[in-house]
Amino acid sequence: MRVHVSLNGFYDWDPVPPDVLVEDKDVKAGRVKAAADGAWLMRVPKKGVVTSTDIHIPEGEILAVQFQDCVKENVVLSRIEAAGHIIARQTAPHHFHRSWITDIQVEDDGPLPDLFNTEIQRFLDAGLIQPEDREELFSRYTEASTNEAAVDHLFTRLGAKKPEVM
Amino acid sequence: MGAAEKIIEPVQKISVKDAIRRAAKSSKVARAEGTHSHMLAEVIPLKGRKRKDVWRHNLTTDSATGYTNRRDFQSKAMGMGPSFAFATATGNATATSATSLTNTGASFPTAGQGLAGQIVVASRNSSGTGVTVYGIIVSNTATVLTVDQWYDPTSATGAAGTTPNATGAYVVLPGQGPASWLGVTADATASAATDTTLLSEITTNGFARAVGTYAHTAAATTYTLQKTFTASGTATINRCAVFGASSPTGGGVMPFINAVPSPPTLVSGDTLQLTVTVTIN
Repeated sequence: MRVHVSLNGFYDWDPVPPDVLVEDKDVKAGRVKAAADGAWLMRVPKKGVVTSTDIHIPEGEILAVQFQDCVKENVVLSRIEAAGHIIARQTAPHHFHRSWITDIQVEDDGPLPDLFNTEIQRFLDAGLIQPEDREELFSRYTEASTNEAAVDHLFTRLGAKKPEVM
Repeated sequence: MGAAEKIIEPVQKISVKDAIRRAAKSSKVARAEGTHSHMLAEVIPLKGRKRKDVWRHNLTTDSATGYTNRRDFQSKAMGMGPSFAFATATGNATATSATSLTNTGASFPTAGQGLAGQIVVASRNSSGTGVTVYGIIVSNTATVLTVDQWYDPTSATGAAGTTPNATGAYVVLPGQGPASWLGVTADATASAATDTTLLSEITTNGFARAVGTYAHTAAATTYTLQKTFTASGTATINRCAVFGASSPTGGGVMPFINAVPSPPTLVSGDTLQLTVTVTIN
């Protein structure tokens, strides 16, 4: 699944200057991360810049998140819900704030049932997912969806306002 | 205090929040040279709260010999173009296998790193028989290209494609295949810039090497690769690396490698979430 997020701002990662004190709270908050040779990078918002983020999500990752949420949260996600979690939880914090989103485009070639069957097997074998849950997982994974519906969901999941169509 | 004594005031440091506010208003940034990456490992246990590790700088394999060297990989990916054309860059195979393509009439370049890291596209024969797939060349002789596997170009997970037709057409592309795969190991040997492989890479229990989610914002100095591994058995994760091929057997370029601090031991149902950020200055 390919997601193109249009933005009017983005996060860049600049070197932390020598006159700055980096504390644990900064690391935990995600404001800084380690750079080369013991240095640090800090997350700097670059607002007012028209740009975009391209996100390429392998189908295996969508399945991994669907299975993960089933195992840990006992929640059954659809493909776009899993993709929304990937972007919101993993990608967005490094690339953009939701208030900078101006548009979202989704290009999706649809589910891969064969891959689902291959990937779920080890979860069944390990007893992490029960056989009786398989059908619901498969049903949600393969349920019909349109790119437009996917876009609507992502706007909601990311907490961004969808632009009005003139 | 005597008149000759000088009071040295300690340097007052500002907070990260203030530094960010200052940087957001300024267009000037003093950047470190070169490309580097760092990796974050987060463990989400089946029961319990997420344990977030600290970001760790990755070692770039700049001293490695062979084509796994990070600088060689970058140079070829960015600069190797039509100048590397050769007569048998395209032709017809005389034999193929799951990991090779042979053209007995070819003279594939073998000097230095040969064609390692480049992509070969194999297609149908003159009768229209066969499929179109591509492979990442891990090594070659004058007449045989060895690939890590054949890829289905329609698969976003890098799934294996069908072995191409034994007499199908092929073309070797300039440049390099991307480094998109993330792999882990329980081996605790200290990583070194001379490393070319990830020792004892884990291939089972949900930790097999896999393609990560790629994201890049136009004009930003970084891109991210992220992968969620869910354990279906027990594994201790000591080190991680980024690769340019799908198979531990084939290897592929390995530009970044690092140790996971406080190596987590995951049991069935736990999740390891890896995020690699590559900074390009």
